[in-house]
Amino acid sequence: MSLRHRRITLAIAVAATILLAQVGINIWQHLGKARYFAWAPNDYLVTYDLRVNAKGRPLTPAEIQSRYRLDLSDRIGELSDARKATLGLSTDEHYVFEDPPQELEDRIRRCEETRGKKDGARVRLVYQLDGGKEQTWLWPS
Amino acid sequence: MAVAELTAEAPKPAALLNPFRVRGTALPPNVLLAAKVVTLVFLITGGWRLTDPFVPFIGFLGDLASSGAYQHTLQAIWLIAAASLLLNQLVRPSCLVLGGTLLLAQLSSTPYRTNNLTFTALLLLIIGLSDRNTAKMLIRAQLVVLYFWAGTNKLLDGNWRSGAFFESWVGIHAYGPAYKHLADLLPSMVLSTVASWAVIVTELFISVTFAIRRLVPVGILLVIAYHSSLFLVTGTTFTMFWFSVTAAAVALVEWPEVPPTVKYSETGPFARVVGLLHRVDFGHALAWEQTGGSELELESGERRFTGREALARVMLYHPTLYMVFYALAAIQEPARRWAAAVALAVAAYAAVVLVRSRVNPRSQVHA
Repeated sequence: MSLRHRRITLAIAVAATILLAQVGINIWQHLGKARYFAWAPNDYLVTYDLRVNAKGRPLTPAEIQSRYRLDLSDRIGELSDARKATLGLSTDEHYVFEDPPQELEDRIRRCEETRGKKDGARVRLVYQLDGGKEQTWLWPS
Repeated sequence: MAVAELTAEAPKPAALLNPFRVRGTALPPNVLLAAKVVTLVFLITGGWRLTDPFVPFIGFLGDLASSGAYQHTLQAIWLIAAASLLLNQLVRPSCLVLGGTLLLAQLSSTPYRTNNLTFTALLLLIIGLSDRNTAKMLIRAQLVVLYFWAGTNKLLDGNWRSGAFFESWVGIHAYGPAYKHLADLLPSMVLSTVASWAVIVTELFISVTFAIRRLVPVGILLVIAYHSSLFLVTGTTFTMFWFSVTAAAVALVEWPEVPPTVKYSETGPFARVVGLLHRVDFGHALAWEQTGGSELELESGERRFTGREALARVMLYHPTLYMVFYALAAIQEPARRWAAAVALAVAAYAAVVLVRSRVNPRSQVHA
């Protein structure tokens, strides 16, 4: 077998591994509630409100945005109360996250377990998935 | 055969440095073109800035260096590989580095990871791992995996099956009024349920089209039409997604192995536009011949096209047009829906040609 042929065969083997790994990751992610590196582009609509107390005081939305690298544009606040009611959204929710809520919780939890560990933060996340039932997640849980 | 082809058309080294040139490398011309337009868009949109580590998926990636040093290193590697690819040097390794760097950046930062960047990274990696014989098969396989799981994820989600996701998603976005008006004419949730199932069926069907070789042209048109429709309605390209999937579709187009010959006159129909296309063919992708005849002709192997169909093929095989189109579409400005409209018009025309050629296979002339 020539060197060139070997290289091509190796390249195909690596490409096949990448493709098979995606299949494996997708199956694995479907066993849980997150979709990391699984194909679910913009498949979720999480509307939420997030309150954080750290270092003994409540954080501003800008501080929360920076702390978790979340986009905290008030996209829900632009809707009228009547529109929110039609969509079944709580009037307290302001922000939008387009991945599963588990990924939002994971990000906050991992930030608080690592970078923010010394701050003794207390987090209250209130959210709805696709306009469904309102749920609350707390850190520390 | 691939070696003979490379030798037959091997350009001079200086000519290879031309970024508009897509022939004469280890990759098929349109696969290289796809990699180039994705890279170009990533440069223009500022994607090359990548990210610093932040709550990484793989813990040690956050401890390798300071945040700034890590990010600047990734940027430098990415930019060098981009320059190398655009100048046709080591095109496959360049694609591997571009895709690998982008994937590494996503593994380094949880907030940075998105589906559109993952697809972009994998497309570049797959191109880097392929050659003239395997590129299209591997890109097709990647598209099968992408659309199969995207469709399956929705199919397995109760809120997609019931239309609840769609109802909420459209409801909170600014492009909702037209949808809301239509929805109000129908019983509650009917339109959202229909739209959800249309998306699920479309995505699963696209995966089937790329799995079956003879359906690939249908898949290409569906990908362009589906994503361009979303772009047109929402006004968003979903960051890199529209660019990368349409570029992947371009990579799968049947592309001539040698530059097609274009015969045109200065006075015939389309003379001005063809003359302009000739002048802007910076990559010498086509062989141009001015003739005394009045009819525009394009010869590609044993096939010959005339008139409007020849003009369409000239544009289809014109890399400069793709680069300019993608570059303009990538420029951030509010009214860039025009790019979606252009892509939809091209897909519609190509669909008509495809159907006509299936119904009447003699519509193309054999030289």
